[in-house]
Amino acid sequence: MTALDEKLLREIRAIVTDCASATPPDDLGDDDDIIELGIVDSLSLMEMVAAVNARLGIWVDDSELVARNFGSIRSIHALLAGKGR
Amino acid sequence: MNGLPRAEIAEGFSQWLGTLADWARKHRDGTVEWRDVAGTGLLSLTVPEHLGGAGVGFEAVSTALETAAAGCGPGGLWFAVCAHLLACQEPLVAFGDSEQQQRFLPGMMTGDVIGAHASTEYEAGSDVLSVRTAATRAAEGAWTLNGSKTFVTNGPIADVFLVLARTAPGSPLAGLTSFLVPRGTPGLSVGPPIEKAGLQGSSLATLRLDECELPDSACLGGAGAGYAVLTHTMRIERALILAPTLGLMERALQSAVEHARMRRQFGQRLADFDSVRDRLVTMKINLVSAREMLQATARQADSGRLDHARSALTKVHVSRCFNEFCNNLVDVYGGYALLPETGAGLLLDDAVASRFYSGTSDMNRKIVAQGLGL
Repeated sequence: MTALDEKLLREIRAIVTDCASATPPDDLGDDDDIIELGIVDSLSLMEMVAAVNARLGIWVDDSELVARNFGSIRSIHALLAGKGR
Repeated sequence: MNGLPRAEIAEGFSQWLGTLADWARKHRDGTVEWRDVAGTGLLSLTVPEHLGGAGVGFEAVSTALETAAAGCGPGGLWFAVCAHLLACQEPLVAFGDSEQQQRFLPGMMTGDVIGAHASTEYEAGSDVLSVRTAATRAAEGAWTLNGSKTFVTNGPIADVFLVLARTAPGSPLAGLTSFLVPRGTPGLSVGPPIEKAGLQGSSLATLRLDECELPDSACLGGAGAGYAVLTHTMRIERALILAPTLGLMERALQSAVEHARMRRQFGQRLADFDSVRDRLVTMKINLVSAREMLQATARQADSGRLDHARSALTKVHVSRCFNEFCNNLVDVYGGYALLPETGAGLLLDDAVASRFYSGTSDMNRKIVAQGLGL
């Protein structure tokens, strides 16, 4: 993983933590299901999307608001890494 | 205006707009039917050219809706048109596959197919993501829907319903699907029109789905895309659904000014009383402020960079302007506001309604707050 990838992962983790509907555990893994754990719900997702746009300058299209893209920190990274800022 | 070619609309929008305004003024004292509206070409404005539409975008359609509503029709008619355009046609454009688009879009643009969005349930209003209407796998390639919907705008007259159903337990992010359900599908029944105050010219109904079978091809955006479809629909709808109110306010302001100029009390015109002038000035400020925000928001939608907070903020602001406008309007007319011929009381009913559809003002404020990071 490149330094840029690691930086983006950290930024995503920070956004998930800040916008979470339930406090994430300290040992939350990049592959843990944050929807199943109740950390992300439909309301906190909208806050996350706004934060991704505001903090990272990345636009998330409505069509991308599906579980496979926001199910874990790593899946969010996979979605955003391919987009320009 | 009869079936104006969509290419002409795209090439000469300003000219077409003038024609639309003339059409609307000619219909001011008459009944405007759905197909009359479709005949203007208005229903094709946001559909891309490659799908047979005029492809002129959201700012154009907001301007067209304002222009048409300034000329004719009760507020509810334009509300019904918006429900069709923004809550059914738009998600079909954004998420439909070629077969779904070919089946429904041409008729939606000509007025032969009227669309309705069916998400709300008795127990799922603001909390729409907790819908209980369930879609279970019947056989390979088929779903069975059971449940009910309420407050379905255009329900009594719609030809196709966009129904939000739960296809999996747990998070709405994975468990919701939007289904295109044509009227007449076995198991789908439409209730009688719901009696309501305001939004005269529109109709609402309840839907019931009893063992209603649908193929996979009825899923809009695919199984599990319901949250994305609903979110997109709400983003566009909140931004634009109040565009007709700008025209209604324009029309009402002209009439109110005329009333104030003509009516005399205590030996002078109503327009000469400071209290009446102040109200009319406030109404003008409401209208201009609402218009400026909505049109700027529509331009953002056209640029592909309209976020949910801005969309929600627009809905809150325009509704607030509409309500303040109408509260002043009835005071300008005084007792005459109670008479149907002024339209003031009916418009106030429409303003009240604007606080609740496409998300209540309270819910939309919550979205704005999220955008502030609160």
